[in-house]
Amino acid sequence: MNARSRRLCVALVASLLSVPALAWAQNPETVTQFVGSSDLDAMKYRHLWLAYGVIWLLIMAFVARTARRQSELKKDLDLLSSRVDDMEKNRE
Amino acid sequence: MNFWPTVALVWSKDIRVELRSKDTLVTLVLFALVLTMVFTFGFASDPQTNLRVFPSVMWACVLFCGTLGVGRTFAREARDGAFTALVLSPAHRGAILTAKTLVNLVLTLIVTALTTPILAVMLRVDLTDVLGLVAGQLFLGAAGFALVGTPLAVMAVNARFAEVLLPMVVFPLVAPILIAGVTGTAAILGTIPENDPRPWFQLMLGFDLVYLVGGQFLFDKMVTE
Amino acid sequence: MNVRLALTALATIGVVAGHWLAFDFAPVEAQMGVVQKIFYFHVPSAMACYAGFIACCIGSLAYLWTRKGRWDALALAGAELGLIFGLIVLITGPLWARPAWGVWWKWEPRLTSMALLVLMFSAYWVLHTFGGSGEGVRRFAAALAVFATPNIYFVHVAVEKWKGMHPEIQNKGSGGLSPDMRTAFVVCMVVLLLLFGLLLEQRYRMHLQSRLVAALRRRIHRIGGDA
Repeated sequence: MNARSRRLCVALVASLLSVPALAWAQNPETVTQFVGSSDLDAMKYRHLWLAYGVIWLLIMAFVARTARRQSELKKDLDLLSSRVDDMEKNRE
Repeated sequence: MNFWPTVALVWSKDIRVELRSKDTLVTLVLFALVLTMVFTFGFASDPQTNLRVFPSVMWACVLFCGTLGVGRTFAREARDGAFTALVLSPAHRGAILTAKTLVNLVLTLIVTALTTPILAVMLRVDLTDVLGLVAGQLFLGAAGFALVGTPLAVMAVNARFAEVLLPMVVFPLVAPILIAGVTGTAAILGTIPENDPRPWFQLMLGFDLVYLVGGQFLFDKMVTE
Repeated sequence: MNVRLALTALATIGVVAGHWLAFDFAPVEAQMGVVQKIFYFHVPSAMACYAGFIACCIGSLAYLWTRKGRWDALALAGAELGLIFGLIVLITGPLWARPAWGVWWKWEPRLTSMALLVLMFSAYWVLHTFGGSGEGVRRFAAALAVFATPNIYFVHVAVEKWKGMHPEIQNKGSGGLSPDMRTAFVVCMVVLLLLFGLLLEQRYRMHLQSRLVAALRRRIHRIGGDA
Protein backbone atom coordinates (compact mmCIF):
# COMPACT_ATOMS: atom_id res chain seq x y z
CA MET A 1 0.00 0.00 0.00
CA ASN A 2 2.76 2.35 0.91
CA ALA A 3 4.74 1.84 -2.26
CA ARG A 4 1.63 2.61 -4.21
CA SER A 5 0.77 5.71 -2.27
CA ARG A 6 4.32 6.86 -2.76
CA ARG A 7 4.03 6.31 -6.47
CA LEU A 8 0.83 8.33 -6.39
CA CYS A 9 2.62 11.16 -4.67
CA VAL A 10 5.41 11.09 -7.24
CA ALA A 11 2.88 11.10 -10.06
CA LEU A 12 1.07 14.01 -8.49
CA VAL A 13 4.26 15.96 -7.97
CA ALA A 14 5.45 15.29 -11.51
CA SER A 15 2.20 16.39 -13.06
CA LEU A 16 2.09 19.44 -10.85
CA LEU A 17 5.57 20.35 -12.02
CA SER A 18 4.36 20.17 -15.59
CA VAL A 19 1.69 22.79 -14.91
CA PRO A 20 3.97 25.80 -14.43
CA ALA A 21 5.89 24.71 -17.52
CA LEU A 22 2.65 24.56 -19.46
CA ALA A 23 1.57 27.93 -18.22
CA TRP A 24 5.02 29.38 -18.84
CA ALA A 25 4.82 28.28 -22.44
CA GLN A 26 1.72 30.42 -22.86
CA ASN A 27 3.26 33.41 -21.18
CA PRO A 28 4.79 35.27 -24.16
CA GLU A 29 1.49 35.14 -25.99
CA THR A 30 -0.39 36.74 -23.13
CA VAL A 31 2.33 39.29 -22.55
CA THR A 32 2.05 40.58 -26.13
CA GLN A 33 -1.55 41.49 -25.40
CA PHE A 34 -0.29 44.02 -22.90
CA VAL A 35 2.13 46.00 -25.00
CA GLY A 36 3.42 49.03 -23.18
CA SER A 37 2.52 47.67 -19.79
CA SER A 38 3.28 49.89 -16.87
CA ASP A 39 5.06 49.02 -13.64
CA LEU A 40 1.76 48.00 -12.14
CA ASP A 41 1.15 45.47 -14.91
CA ALA A 42 4.61 44.05 -14.44
CA MET A 43 3.90 43.75 -10.73
CA LYS A 44 0.63 41.99 -11.46
CA TYR A 45 2.39 39.35 -13.53
CA ARG A 46 5.13 38.97 -10.95
CA HIS A 47 2.65 38.52 -8.14
CA LEU A 48 0.56 36.08 -10.15
CA TRP A 49 3.56 33.82 -10.74
CA LEU A 50 4.71 34.19 -7.18
CA ALA A 51 1.28 33.26 -5.85
CA TYR A 52 0.94 30.12 -7.92
CA GLY A 53 4.54 29.21 -7.19
CA VAL A 54 3.90 29.48 -3.46
CA ILE A 55 0.67 27.48 -3.68
CA TRP A 56 2.22 24.49 -5.37
CA LEU A 57 5.52 24.68 -3.60
CA LEU A 58 3.75 24.44 -0.25
CA ILE A 59 1.45 21.63 -1.35
CA MET A 60 4.29 19.66 -2.92
CA ALA A 61 6.50 20.10 0.11
CA PHE A 62 3.64 18.86 2.27
CA VAL A 63 3.04 15.83 0.02
CA ALA A 64 6.74 15.00 -0.08
CA ARG A 65 7.06 15.23 3.69
CA THR A 66 4.02 13.06 4.21
CA ALA A 67 5.35 10.45 1.78
CA ARG A 68 8.72 10.37 3.53
CA ARG A 69 7.21 10.14 6.99
CA GLN A 70 4.95 7.37 5.81
CA SER A 71 7.72 5.29 4.30
CA GLU A 72 9.74 5.68 7.50
CA LEU A 73 6.75 4.62 9.55
CA LYS A 74 6.18 1.62 7.31
CA LYS A 75 9.78 0.55 7.84
CA ASP A 76 9.46 0.99 11.59
CA LEU A 77 6.21 -0.89 11.64
CA ASP A 78 7.63 -3.92 9.82
CA LEU A 79 10.71 -3.99 11.99
CA LEU A 80 8.82 -3.64 15.24
CA SER A 81 6.12 -6.16 14.47
CA SER A 82 8.70 -8.77 13.50
CA ARG A 83 10.55 -8.05 16.74
CA VAL A 84 7.37 -8.44 18.74
CA ASP A 85 6.70 -11.76 17.06
CA ASP A 86 10.23 -12.96 17.79
CA MET A 87 10.08 -11.93 21.40
CA GLU A 88 6.75 -13.56 21.99
CA LYS A 89 7.94 -16.77 20.36
CA ASN A 90 11.06 -16.78 22.52
CA ARG A 91 9.02 -16.32 25.63
CA GLU A 92 6.84 -19.29 24.84
CA MET B 1 -21.30 19.17 48.54
CA ASN B 2 -23.22 21.86 46.72
CA PHE B 3 -21.87 24.03 43.95
CA TRP B 4 -21.66 27.45 45.54
CA PRO B 5 -20.31 26.36 48.95
CA THR B 6 -17.53 24.57 47.09
CA VAL B 7 -16.83 27.68 45.07
CA ALA B 8 -16.69 29.76 48.24
CA LEU B 9 -14.41 27.24 49.94
CA VAL B 10 -11.88 26.96 47.12
CA TRP B 11 -11.99 30.69 46.50
CA SER B 12 -11.42 31.64 50.11
CA LYS B 13 -8.64 29.05 50.36
CA ASP B 14 -6.82 30.55 47.40
CA ILE B 15 -7.34 34.12 48.57
CA ARG B 16 -6.15 33.23 52.06
CA VAL B 17 -3.02 31.53 50.74
CA GLU B 18 -2.41 34.50 48.48
CA LEU B 19 -2.86 36.99 51.32
CA ARG B 20 -0.37 35.08 53.43
CA SER B 21 2.37 34.76 50.84
CA LYS B 22 1.38 37.70 48.59
CA ASP B 23 3.85 36.40 46.00
CA THR B 24 1.55 36.49 42.95
CA LEU B 25 0.04 39.84 43.84
CA VAL B 26 3.36 41.55 44.52
CA THR B 27 4.88 40.16 41.32
CA LEU B 28 1.88 41.26 39.32
CA VAL B 29 1.79 44.76 40.74
CA LEU B 30 5.50 45.29 40.21
CA PHE B 31 5.23 43.95 36.69
CA ALA B 32 2.31 46.29 36.01
CA LEU B 33 4.26 49.26 37.31
CA VAL B 34 7.20 48.44 35.07
CA LEU B 35 4.80 48.11 32.15
CA THR B 36 3.22 51.50 32.75
CA MET B 37 6.69 53.03 32.93
CA VAL B 38 7.74 51.42 29.67
CA PHE B 39 4.56 52.45 27.90
CA THR B 40 4.65 56.04 29.07
CA PHE B 41 8.33 56.37 28.19
CA GLY B 42 7.54 54.99 24.79
CA PHE B 43 4.34 56.83 23.97
CA ALA B 44 4.07 60.04 25.97
CA SER B 45 3.74 62.90 23.53
CA ASP B 46 1.33 65.79 22.89
CA PRO B 47 -2.13 65.56 24.56
CA GLN B 48 -3.91 64.59 21.35
CA THR B 49 -1.59 61.65 20.68
CA ASN B 50 -1.71 60.60 24.32
CA LEU B 51 -5.47 60.42 24.16
CA ARG B 52 -5.28 58.26 21.07
CA VAL B 53 -2.73 55.77 22.40
CA PHE B 54 -4.31 55.56 25.85
CA PRO B 55 -6.89 52.80 25.02
CA SER B 56 -4.26 50.55 23.43
CA VAL B 57 -1.82 51.05 26.27
CA MET B 58 -4.46 50.42 28.92
CA TRP B 59 -5.63 47.21 27.29
CA ALA B 60 -2.11 46.03 26.61
CA CYS B 61 -1.49 46.32 30.36
CA VAL B 62 -4.60 44.25 31.06
CA LEU B 63 -3.45 41.66 28.53
CA PHE B 64 0.08 41.27 29.87
CA CYS B 65 -0.81 41.28 33.55
CA GLY B 66 -3.77 39.01 32.94
CA THR B 67 -1.66 36.43 31.17
CA LEU B 68 0.94 36.50 33.88
CA GLY B 69 -1.69 36.05 36.57
CA VAL B 70 -3.57 33.32 34.74
CA GLY B 71 -0.37 31.34 34.28
CA ARG B 72 -0.04 31.18 38.04
CA THR B 73 -3.55 29.78 38.57
CA PHE B 74 -2.58 26.22 39.27
CA ALA B 75 1.05 26.91 40.15
CA ARG B 76 0.58 26.09 43.82
CA GLU B 77 -1.47 22.99 43.12
CA ALA B 78 1.06 21.70 40.61
CA ARG B 79 3.49 21.07 43.42
CA ASP B 80 3.22 18.02 45.67
CA GLY B 81 0.41 16.47 43.63
CA ALA B 82 -2.12 18.82 45.17
CA PHE B 83 -3.75 19.29 41.80
CA THR B 84 -4.52 15.59 41.54
CA ALA B 85 -5.98 15.71 45.02
CA LEU B 86 -8.14 18.68 44.13
CA VAL B 87 -9.41 17.01 40.96
CA LEU B 88 -10.01 13.66 42.64
CA SER B 89 -11.90 15.22 45.51
CA PRO B 90 -15.69 14.86 45.32
CA ALA B 91 -15.98 18.58 44.60
CA HIS B 92 -17.73 19.48 41.37
CA ARG B 93 -15.10 20.38 38.79
CA GLY B 94 -17.20 23.23 37.49
CA ALA B 95 -17.12 24.66 40.99
CA ILE B 96 -13.33 24.44 41.11
CA LEU B 97 -13.13 26.19 37.77
CA THR B 98 -15.55 28.90 38.90
CA ALA B 99 -13.57 29.52 42.07
CA LYS B 100 -10.29 29.73 40.16
CA THR B 101 -11.85 32.06 37.61
CA LEU B 102 -13.05 34.35 40.39
CA VAL B 103 -9.60 34.37 41.97
CA ASN B 104 -8.07 35.38 38.66
CA LEU B 105 -10.75 38.00 38.15
CA VAL B 106 -10.04 39.56 41.53
CA LEU B 107 -6.29 39.62 40.91
CA THR B 108 -6.67 41.14 37.46
CA LEU B 109 -9.10 43.75 38.73
CA ILE B 110 -6.77 44.78 41.55
CA VAL B 111 -3.89 45.21 39.15
CA THR B 112 -6.05 47.03 36.59
CA ALA B 113 -7.42 49.36 39.25
CA LEU B 114 -3.84 50.26 39.98
CA THR B 115 -2.44 50.62 36.48
CA THR B 116 -5.28 52.53 34.85
CA PRO B 117 -5.10 55.61 37.12
CA ILE B 118 -1.31 55.61 36.90
CA LEU B 119 -1.49 55.50 33.13
CA ALA B 120 -4.13 58.19 33.06
CA VAL B 121 -1.98 60.46 35.21
CA MET B 122 1.22 59.78 33.31
CA LEU B 123 -0.38 60.26 29.91
CA ARG B 124 -2.44 63.20 31.24
CA VAL B 125 -5.76 61.72 30.14
CA ASP B 126 -8.77 62.97 32.10
CA LEU B 127 -10.98 60.03 32.99
CA THR B 128 -13.17 61.62 35.68
CA ASP B 129 -16.21 62.08 33.42
CA VAL B 130 -16.14 58.59 31.92
CA LEU B 131 -14.86 56.65 34.91
CA GLY B 132 -17.99 54.48 35.24
CA LEU B 133 -18.03 53.46 31.59
CA VAL B 134 -14.33 52.67 31.45
CA ALA B 135 -14.56 50.73 34.72
CA GLY B 136 -17.47 48.69 33.35
CA GLN B 137 -15.52 47.95 30.24
CA LEU B 138 -12.45 46.92 32.16
CA PHE B 139 -14.59 44.68 34.33
CA LEU B 140 -16.12 42.92 31.34
CA GLY B 141 -12.72 42.65 29.71
CA ALA B 142 -11.05 41.24 32.80
CA ALA B 143 -13.93 38.82 33.24
CA GLY B 144 -13.59 37.59 29.68
CA PHE B 145 -9.88 37.23 30.18
CA ALA B 146 -10.32 35.16 33.33
CA LEU B 147 -13.01 33.04 31.69
CA VAL B 148 -10.76 32.13 28.76
CA GLY B 149 -7.50 31.94 30.59
CA THR B 150 -8.43 29.90 33.64
CA PRO B 151 -9.54 26.68 31.92
CA LEU B 152 -6.56 26.98 29.61
CA ALA B 153 -4.21 27.35 32.56
CA VAL B 154 -4.79 23.69 33.35
CA MET B 155 -2.26 23.13 30.62
CA ALA B 156 0.38 24.63 32.86
CA VAL B 157 0.01 21.55 35.01
CA ASN B 158 0.45 19.10 32.14
CA ALA B 159 2.43 20.39 29.20
CA ARG B 160 6.08 21.09 28.61
CA PHE B 161 7.02 24.73 27.84
CA ALA B 162 3.76 25.77 29.45
CA GLU B 163 5.03 29.27 30.23
CA VAL B 164 5.62 29.95 26.55
CA LEU B 165 2.66 28.03 25.22
CA LEU B 166 0.04 29.62 27.44
CA PRO B 167 0.37 33.19 26.12
CA MET B 168 0.53 31.83 22.60
CA VAL B 169 -2.76 30.07 23.15
CA VAL B 170 -4.49 32.78 25.16
CA PHE B 171 -3.60 35.85 23.06
CA PRO B 172 -5.48 34.86 19.89
CA LEU B 173 -8.44 33.71 21.94
CA VAL B 174 -8.78 37.03 23.73
CA ALA B 175 -8.34 38.99 20.51
CA PRO B 176 -12.04 39.90 20.35
CA ILE B 177 -11.85 41.30 23.89
CA LEU B 178 -8.91 43.43 22.89
CA ILE B 179 -10.58 44.66 19.73
CA ALA B 180 -13.81 45.44 21.55
CA GLY B 181 -11.94 46.98 24.50
CA VAL B 182 -9.58 49.18 22.55
CA THR B 183 -12.22 50.40 20.13
CA GLY B 184 -14.85 50.75 22.84
CA THR B 185 -12.57 52.85 25.03
CA ALA B 186 -11.63 54.94 22.03
CA ALA B 187 -15.35 55.47 21.41
CA ILE B 188 -15.84 56.59 25.01
CA LEU B 189 -12.89 58.96 24.81
CA GLY B 190 -14.16 60.24 21.48
CA THR B 191 -11.02 59.63 19.45
CA ILE B 192 -12.81 57.71 16.68
CA PRO B 193 -15.70 59.00 14.53
CA GLU B 194 -18.24 56.60 15.98
CA ASN B 195 -18.62 57.45 19.65
CA ASP B 196 -21.27 54.94 20.70
CA PRO B 197 -19.64 52.35 22.98
CA ARG B 198 -22.78 50.22 23.34
CA PRO B 199 -22.13 47.66 20.56
CA TRP B 200 -18.71 47.04 22.09
CA PHE B 201 -20.25 46.36 25.47
CA GLN B 202 -22.65 43.91 23.86
CA LEU B 203 -19.84 42.21 22.03
CA MET B 204 -17.81 41.78 25.21
CA LEU B 205 -20.82 40.47 27.08
CA GLY B 206 -21.61 37.95 24.36
CA PHE B 207 -18.00 36.87 24.29
CA ASP B 208 -17.95 36.45 28.08
CA LEU B 209 -21.08 34.31 27.98
CA VAL B 210 -19.76 32.02 25.24
CA TYR B 211 -16.54 31.42 27.12
CA LEU B 212 -18.37 30.92 30.38
CA VAL B 213 -20.50 28.15 28.89
CA GLY B 214 -17.64 26.69 26.82
CA GLY B 215 -15.28 26.61 29.79
CA GLN B 216 -17.79 24.89 32.04
CA PHE B 217 -18.49 22.29 29.37
CA LEU B 218 -14.91 21.57 28.42
CA PHE B 219 -13.09 21.82 31.73
CA ASP B 220 -14.43 18.50 32.92
CA LYS B 221 -13.19 16.81 29.76
CA MET B 222 -9.80 18.49 29.81
CA VAL B 223 -8.64 17.48 33.23
CA THR B 224 -6.69 14.26 33.49
CA GLU B 225 -6.93 12.30 36.66
CA MET C 1 -7.52 1.24 -2.82
CA ASN C 2 -8.60 1.53 -6.43
CA VAL C 3 -10.99 4.29 -5.53
CA ARG C 4 -8.13 6.29 -4.12
CA LEU C 5 -6.05 5.66 -7.22
CA ALA C 6 -8.91 6.84 -9.42
CA LEU C 7 -9.48 9.90 -7.28
CA THR C 8 -5.80 10.79 -7.29
CA ALA C 9 -5.72 10.48 -11.06
CA LEU C 10 -8.83 12.64 -11.25
CA ALA C 11 -7.28 15.24 -8.97
CA THR C 12 -4.10 15.30 -11.05
CA ILE C 13 -6.02 15.81 -14.27
CA GLY C 14 -8.21 18.33 -12.47
CA VAL C 15 -5.23 20.37 -11.32
CA VAL C 16 -3.93 20.65 -14.87
CA ALA C 17 -7.41 21.41 -16.20
CA GLY C 18 -8.00 23.94 -13.45
CA HIS C 19 -4.85 25.82 -14.38
CA TRP C 20 -5.78 25.78 -18.01
CA LEU C 21 -9.26 27.08 -17.22
CA ALA C 22 -7.95 29.75 -14.89
CA PHE C 23 -5.14 31.01 -17.10
CA ASP C 24 -6.38 30.49 -20.63
CA PHE C 25 -10.11 29.83 -20.71
CA ALA C 26 -11.33 32.47 -18.27
CA PRO C 27 -11.10 36.04 -19.58
CA VAL C 28 -8.78 38.58 -17.99
CA GLU C 29 -10.72 40.70 -15.55
CA ALA C 30 -11.13 44.24 -16.87
CA GLN C 31 -10.32 46.28 -13.76
CA MET C 32 -7.78 44.23 -11.86
CA GLY C 33 -6.07 42.58 -14.80
CA VAL C 34 -4.22 39.29 -14.67
CA VAL C 35 -3.66 39.42 -10.94
CA GLN C 36 -7.33 38.56 -10.48
CA LYS C 37 -6.42 35.02 -11.57
CA ILE C 38 -4.97 34.43 -8.11
CA PHE C 39 -8.58 34.26 -7.01
CA TYR C 40 -9.18 30.88 -8.73
CA PHE C 41 -6.98 29.10 -6.24
CA HIS C 42 -7.04 31.62 -3.41
CA VAL C 43 -10.74 31.24 -2.58
CA PRO C 44 -10.82 27.42 -2.89
CA SER C 45 -7.76 27.34 -0.62
CA ALA C 46 -9.69 29.34 1.93
CA MET C 47 -12.53 26.84 1.68
CA ALA C 48 -10.10 23.95 2.12
CA CYS C 49 -8.62 25.78 5.10
CA TYR C 50 -12.03 26.13 6.72
CA ALA C 51 -12.78 22.49 5.95
CA GLY C 52 -9.55 21.46 7.64
CA PHE C 53 -10.29 23.48 10.77
CA ILE C 54 -13.85 22.19 10.89
CA ALA C 55 -12.48 18.64 10.64
CA CYS C 56 -10.15 19.53 13.51
CA CYS C 57 -13.02 20.88 15.59
CA ILE C 58 -15.23 17.84 14.95
CA GLY C 59 -12.36 15.45 15.62
CA SER C 60 -11.52 17.29 18.84
CA LEU C 61 -15.10 17.24 20.09
CA ALA C 62 -15.40 13.54 19.34
CA TYR C 63 -12.05 12.91 21.00
CA LEU C 64 -13.05 14.77 24.16
CA TRP C 65 -16.23 12.73 24.42
CA THR C 66 -15.13 9.26 23.29
CA ARG C 67 -11.38 9.49 24.11
CA LYS C 68 -10.58 7.35 21.09
CA GLY C 69 -7.16 8.09 19.64
CA ARG C 70 -8.29 7.97 16.04
CA TRP C 71 -10.42 11.09 16.52
CA ASP C 72 -7.37 12.89 17.80
CA ALA C 73 -5.50 11.74 14.70
CA LEU C 74 -8.27 13.15 12.52
CA ALA C 75 -8.19 16.44 14.39
CA LEU C 76 -4.45 16.74 14.00
CA ALA C 77 -4.62 15.90 10.29
CA GLY C 78 -7.37 18.49 9.83
CA ALA C 79 -5.38 21.16 11.64
CA GLU C 80 -2.26 20.47 9.58
CA LEU C 81 -4.10 20.70 6.29
CA GLY C 82 -6.00 23.74 7.44
CA LEU C 83 -2.69 25.39 8.30
CA ILE C 84 -1.13 24.58 4.94
CA PHE C 85 -4.09 25.97 3.04
CA GLY C 86 -4.41 28.87 5.47
CA LEU C 87 -0.78 29.74 4.82
CA ILE C 88 -1.51 29.66 1.10
CA VAL C 89 -4.45 32.01 1.62
CA LEU C 90 -2.42 34.40 3.76
CA ILE C 91 0.43 34.52 1.25
CA THR C 92 -1.59 34.77 -1.94
CA GLY C 93 -4.01 37.30 -0.43
CA PRO C 94 -1.47 40.08 0.07
CA LEU C 95 0.09 39.26 -3.31
CA TRP C 96 -3.29 40.05 -4.80
CA ALA C 97 -4.00 43.00 -2.54
CA ARG C 98 -0.78 44.88 -3.30
CA PRO C 99 -1.65 45.60 -6.96
CA ALA C 100 -5.43 45.66 -6.42
CA TRP C 101 -5.71 47.72 -3.24
CA GLY C 102 -2.31 49.33 -3.24
CA VAL C 103 -1.47 47.89 0.18
CA TRP C 104 -0.36 44.46 1.32
CA TRP C 105 -2.72 44.23 4.23
CA LYS C 106 -5.88 45.84 5.57
CA TRP C 107 -7.63 45.40 8.87
CA GLU C 108 -10.64 44.09 7.13
CA PRO C 109 -12.99 41.51 8.73
CA ARG C 110 -12.11 38.63 6.50
CA LEU C 111 -8.38 39.20 6.66
CA THR C 112 -8.25 39.65 10.40
CA SER C 113 -10.39 36.65 11.20
CA MET C 114 -8.38 34.45 8.84
CA ALA C 115 -5.09 35.56 10.35
CA LEU C 116 -6.33 34.89 13.88
CA LEU C 117 -7.79 31.56 12.84
CA VAL C 118 -4.44 30.44 11.49
CA LEU C 119 -2.72 31.75 14.60
CA MET C 120 -5.02 29.79 16.88
CA PHE C 121 -4.63 26.55 15.02
CA SER C 122 -0.88 27.09 14.91
CA ALA C 123 -1.08 27.17 18.69
CA TYR C 124 -3.03 23.91 18.54
CA TRP C 125 -0.43 22.36 16.28
CA VAL C 126 2.53 23.55 18.34
CA LEU C 127 0.88 22.28 21.49
CA HIS C 128 0.12 18.94 19.94
CA THR C 129 3.55 18.50 18.41
CA PHE C 130 5.84 19.91 21.07
CA GLY C 131 3.75 19.85 24.22
CA GLY C 132 4.71 16.28 25.06
CA SER C 133 2.91 13.05 24.41
CA GLY C 134 0.70 12.91 27.50
CA GLU C 135 -3.02 12.46 27.19
CA GLY C 136 -3.59 15.64 29.17
CA VAL C 137 -1.87 17.72 26.53
CA ARG C 138 -3.88 16.11 23.77
CA ARG C 139 -7.09 16.76 25.56
CA PHE C 140 -6.08 20.28 26.25
CA ALA C 141 -5.25 20.84 22.58
CA ALA C 142 -8.63 19.40 21.64
CA ALA C 143 -10.38 21.82 23.98
CA LEU C 144 -8.40 24.65 22.44
CA ALA C 145 -9.57 23.66 18.96
CA VAL C 146 -13.16 23.62 20.15
CA PHE C 147 -12.71 27.04 21.75
CA ALA C 148 -11.06 28.48 18.67
CA THR C 149 -13.74 27.66 16.14
CA PRO C 150 -16.63 29.80 17.46
CA ASN C 151 -14.12 32.53 18.21
CA ILE C 152 -13.85 33.11 14.49
CA TYR C 153 -17.41 34.34 14.42
CA PHE C 154 -16.67 36.81 17.20
CA VAL C 155 -13.58 38.13 15.55
CA HIS C 156 -15.50 38.56 12.34
CA VAL C 157 -18.31 40.47 14.03
CA ALA C 158 -15.84 42.56 15.99
CA VAL C 159 -13.89 43.69 12.99
CA GLU C 160 -17.00 44.19 10.91
CA LYS C 161 -18.20 46.77 13.40
CA TRP C 162 -14.76 48.23 13.61
CA LYS C 163 -14.81 48.72 9.85
CA GLY C 164 -16.49 52.09 10.35
CA MET C 165 -12.99 53.53 10.54
CA HIS C 166 -12.07 52.24 7.11
CA PRO C 167 -14.72 53.33 4.61
CA GLU C 168 -12.59 52.50 1.58
CA ILE C 169 -12.90 48.72 2.04
CA GLN C 170 -13.30 46.79 -1.17
CA ASN C 171 -14.91 43.42 -1.13
CA LYS C 172 -13.79 40.68 -3.45
CA GLY C 173 -16.90 38.54 -3.63
CA SER C 174 -17.66 36.30 -6.57
CA GLY C 175 -20.82 38.21 -7.46
CA GLY C 176 -19.53 39.85 -10.60
CA LEU C 177 -18.15 36.80 -12.36
CA SER C 178 -18.73 36.18 -16.03
CA PRO C 179 -20.00 32.68 -16.95
CA ASP C 180 -16.56 31.56 -18.14
CA MET C 181 -14.95 32.80 -14.96
CA ARG C 182 -17.59 31.01 -12.95
CA THR C 183 -16.89 27.73 -14.75
CA ALA C 184 -13.18 28.02 -14.06
CA PHE C 185 -13.83 28.93 -10.45
CA VAL C 186 -16.20 26.02 -9.82
CA VAL C 187 -13.79 23.53 -11.38
CA CYS C 188 -10.89 24.87 -9.31
CA MET C 189 -13.01 24.66 -6.18
CA VAL C 190 -13.98 21.02 -6.81
CA VAL C 191 -10.42 20.07 -7.68
CA LEU C 192 -8.89 21.69 -4.63
CA LEU C 193 -11.45 20.20 -2.28
CA LEU C 194 -10.81 16.77 -3.82
CA LEU C 195 -7.10 17.27 -3.29
CA PHE C 196 -7.82 18.35 0.25
CA GLY C 197 -9.85 15.20 0.90
CA LEU C 198 -7.11 12.95 -0.45
CA LEU C 199 -4.42 14.67 1.57
CA LEU C 200 -6.56 14.59 4.71
CA GLU C 201 -7.12 10.87 4.39
CA GLN C 202 -3.43 10.25 3.75
CA ARG C 203 -2.36 12.35 6.70
CA TYR C 204 -4.96 10.74 8.96
CA ARG C 205 -3.66 7.31 8.00
CA MET C 206 -0.12 8.46 8.70
CA HIS C 207 -1.00 9.62 12.20
CA LEU C 208 -2.75 6.31 12.89
CA GLN C 209 0.38 4.48 11.78
CA SER C 210 2.62 6.58 13.94
CA ARG C 211 0.38 5.80 16.90
CA LEU C 212 0.64 2.12 16.07
CA VAL C 213 4.42 2.36 15.99
CA ALA C 214 4.44 4.07 19.37
CA ALA C 215 2.16 1.38 20.80
CA LEU C 216 4.42 -1.38 19.45
CA ARG C 217 7.46 0.31 20.95
CA ARG C 218 5.75 0.35 24.34
CA ARG C 219 4.81 -3.28 23.97
CA ILE C 220 8.36 -4.33 23.13
CA HIS C 221 9.56 -2.35 26.09
CA ARG C 222 7.12 -4.19 28.32
CA ILE C 223 7.99 -7.62 27.00
CA GLY C 224 11.67 -6.79 27.27
CA GLY C 225 11.10 -5.68 30.84
CA ASP C 226 9.44 -8.95 31.73
CA ALA C 227 11.96 -11.19 30.06
